[in-house]
Amino acid sequence: MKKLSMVLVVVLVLSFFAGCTSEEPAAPATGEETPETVEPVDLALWEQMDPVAQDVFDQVAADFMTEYPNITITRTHYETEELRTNFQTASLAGQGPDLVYGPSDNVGLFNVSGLIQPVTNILEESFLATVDENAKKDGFTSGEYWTVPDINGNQIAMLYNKTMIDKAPETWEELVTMAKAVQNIDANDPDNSTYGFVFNEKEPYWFIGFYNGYGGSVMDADNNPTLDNDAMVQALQFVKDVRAKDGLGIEGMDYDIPDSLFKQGKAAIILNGAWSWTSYQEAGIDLGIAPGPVLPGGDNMTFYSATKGYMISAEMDPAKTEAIRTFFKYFMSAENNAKFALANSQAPAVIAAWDLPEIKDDELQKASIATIQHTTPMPIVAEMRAVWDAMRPELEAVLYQDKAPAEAAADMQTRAVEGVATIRGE
Amino acid sequence: MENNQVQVRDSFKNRYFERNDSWLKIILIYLLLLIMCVVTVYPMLNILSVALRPADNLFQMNLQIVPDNYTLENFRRAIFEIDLLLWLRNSLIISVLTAVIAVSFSASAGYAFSRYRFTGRKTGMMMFLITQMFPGPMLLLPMYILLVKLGLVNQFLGLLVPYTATAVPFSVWMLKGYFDTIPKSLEESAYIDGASPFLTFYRIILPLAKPALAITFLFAFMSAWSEYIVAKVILTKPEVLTLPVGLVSMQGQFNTQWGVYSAAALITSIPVVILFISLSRFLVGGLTLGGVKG
Amino acid sequence: MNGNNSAAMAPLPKKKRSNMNLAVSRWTPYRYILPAFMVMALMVFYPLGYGIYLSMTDMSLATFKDPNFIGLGNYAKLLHETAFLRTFGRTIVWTMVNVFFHVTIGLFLAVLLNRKLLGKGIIRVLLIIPWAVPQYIVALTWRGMLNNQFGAINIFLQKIGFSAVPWLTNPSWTFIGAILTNIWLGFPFMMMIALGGLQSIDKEFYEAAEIDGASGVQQFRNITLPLLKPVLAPAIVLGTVWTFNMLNVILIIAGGFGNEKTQILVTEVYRLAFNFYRYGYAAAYSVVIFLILLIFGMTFMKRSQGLEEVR
Repeated sequence: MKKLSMVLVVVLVLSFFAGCTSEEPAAPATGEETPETVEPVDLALWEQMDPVAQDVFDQVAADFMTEYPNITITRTHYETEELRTNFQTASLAGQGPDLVYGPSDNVGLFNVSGLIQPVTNILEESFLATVDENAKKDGFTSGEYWTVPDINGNQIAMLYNKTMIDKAPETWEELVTMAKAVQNIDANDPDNSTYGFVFNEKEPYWFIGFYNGYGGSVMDADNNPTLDNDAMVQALQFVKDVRAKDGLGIEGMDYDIPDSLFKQGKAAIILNGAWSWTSYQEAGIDLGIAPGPVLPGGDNMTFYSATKGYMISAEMDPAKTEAIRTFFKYFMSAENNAKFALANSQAPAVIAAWDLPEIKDDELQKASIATIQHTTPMPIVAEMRAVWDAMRPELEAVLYQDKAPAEAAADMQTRAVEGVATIRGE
Repeated sequence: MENNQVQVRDSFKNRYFERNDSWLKIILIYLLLLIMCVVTVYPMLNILSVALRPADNLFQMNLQIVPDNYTLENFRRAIFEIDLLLWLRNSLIISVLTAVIAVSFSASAGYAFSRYRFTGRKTGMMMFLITQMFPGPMLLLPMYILLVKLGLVNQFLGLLVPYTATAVPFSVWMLKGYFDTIPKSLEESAYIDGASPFLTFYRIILPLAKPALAITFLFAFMSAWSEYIVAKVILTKPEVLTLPVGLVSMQGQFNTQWGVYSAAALITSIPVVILFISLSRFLVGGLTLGGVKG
Repeated sequence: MNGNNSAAMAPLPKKKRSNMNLAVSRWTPYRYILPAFMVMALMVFYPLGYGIYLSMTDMSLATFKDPNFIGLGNYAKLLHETAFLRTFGRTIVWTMVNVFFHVTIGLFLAVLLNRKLLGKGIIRVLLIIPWAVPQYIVALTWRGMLNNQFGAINIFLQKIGFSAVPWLTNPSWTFIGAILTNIWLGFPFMMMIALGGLQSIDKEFYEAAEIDGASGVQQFRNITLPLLKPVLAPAIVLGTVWTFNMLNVILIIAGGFGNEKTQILVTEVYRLAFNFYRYGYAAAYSVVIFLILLIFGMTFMKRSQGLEEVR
């Protein structure tokens, strides 16, 4: 059985290639859109997409390759960290892909190392004009655009189970009251306990929402860390008080525990990112989505937003220019872009996609657009890594070791300054 | 009558247990082994539990192994919806080849180190150990550049070479150590009978070293079977992915299909268990030196 | 073959080395070693040389494509690193505790399984399981089991009257949790090695010892251990090296680089190289790790006489 299917696959592949070459002399029938290059072109793409988005990509790519039989797209999946290291390694050896797809926070790093080129080198103005300016700005540094963004968002929002909470709380005080009303924790019987409010309390990507909400900002104009300030102290105090004062949450909450609880209908409110929304609906949760509430003595929780998109390798063979233009025109058409947006439940980056009915009438898309108003773009410079690394241990020390927020803020700054110096090679 | 019963009991005992062991000792041994088995199996049951749950729930708030709403859907999807069988096939090819090559190279090298005295012997042996001492992450880049130069990217051979290199040092030492326990007198008498050194090695020493060969094979197989970092760098085409790479490709940054992932991980361990069972007959006595001296 | 079993009869005979057969030329041993050596030379020596070269450059983010040669600058910087010694100390604890339990548990189980025992085939398979499953998913499972509230370990501890341990919120406990996980992952390997080694020990030794009235412990110390040494010594050296350089378990259990109190030298290398992109500096770190392990390996093998010839 297995052997048979293998043979079938081989035969199919062979006949595909045979078909390609034999049809070569024949005039293309699809009209003027077909590129002049009939030479077979292989486009290698390395991506960090969520599983759903990978499926969508494969479908769109299959259609694409039927329409443009001379272009083959090879997609390779990597995790966030691996995409970064493998792309660096491969580029050094001259074996990198032509295109890299991933979050915009790689831009600073790849650009400083000279691994990618400005997208304006390859793509025409007329094409780039179809992409949302705000999304494009997320890939702008050193005076150039480095990405073709396809979705915008990745933001964390407040999610609530509508069977437990009837309307989204707008302030933290409201949230505490509502969450407390449904919370029912029996330490000896966690299986029959219900939690009012849970979130990933250890992870800076969540924590930053509180820091921003208190008016904090992680770096100055020269990308030097600015973490030792009142906003940081307030944010650390807030996150500590969630359990200590307001009696919500569970000690040591990481990503998976809150996620599992919310999926099982055992948590009423969770803070989680756009990537997770579909999975909660699939788990049968009646999902409500709203911006994070107003913090006590602060503003709304303000999480980061970031685009995901394509970068073009500095090593890309110029002979592939035409094929890459064709690729982008196809994948970034309003219809196809909408498919990716829906799969990720994040806003499409192509302006024309916003008016498509499938986007306009989609609940998650509406929620995405509503919550993205309360976000701020995540810095894409390489130094950001040092900020993240500095935050985590201090955040944990405040949460679990009773470290004073003011002291933690000062130490966080010291760590970040050291880290930035290390990254800059000083 | 009573006497008879005691005899029956004793013959039962002697058939299945050491002659001199008291029942208390036997019970104690079983108790210890039982505890260890629970310790090794329990985490696996956890993985099974995740695989049986719908909706990718990584955590359950109770200790129940089979959830009330259990489903085999994840196993179905692991087999039919992802390329698990393809990855399994690729991994099997690479791991078996690695094991065969590593065992043959190591057996021959280990034999030389055990039996001959020659210039550079100790240095050579240390060399094999030393190669394991440099932290892996930093070897990756040069190894990759090298494989690119040799044109081995996306090829099984590109994995076979580094995997063999990973498995060889330990295997050489393991086999050398085992050959050391085989008395030289066995070969000497074969030489007197006129056998060539190679024939002696092949006919007399190798059969005696079966337990060590089996372990070396298993070790080399496992090191290739579970290797991830090198494979991830060398293999980029979907049709050549190995199991670990394939499994990880199912992960999103936060969103992972834990159910299918766990089901696939369990299916993955089946070939290893089969291999282990089939190799383990070499590990259960019967082939000791005592047996051949006859 | 007959008549030559005197070597096996007497416990640990000291036999004089005899020169091998005349048919052997002086090149024979090198021919036996050549294939294995070629593979090693190809895959290890070049990368090793490259790593040493890298450690003398300033390769980092900005100089990624054309690093400058800076001689021993990275090493000089490393000497002034105050955290280095602390991390090194932690690495030693990590390695020693792990290897100790790998070897003792493995050896102990192997001795039990080497006895006549009903159903030992099944038990052996069950005990080997930690080796058979992909490490990543197992480590994740352990992280779940270590969870403060919902983890199986704390629930069990509380049931038998202990208080819950803050495994994942107190860095020192996280480190212990990582050690537990790694012990679990590693002992089956040592068990297998010991089990294989035990096969080479002639039963007659034990029979003779029993006639002499030696106790089980005496037999273990005077027969089993010395005869297992040739197989066990390299396994311990390599086990130590692998544990010293073990990356995944710590990163998964600690959830990343988080707190320094959970980190060992090799995770520091990884952090420098892949988080801070200081490839040159990380390579210098690696060379230092390499030297530490080299000194350990040489000393250990000399002490245990693992390099000695067959008796």
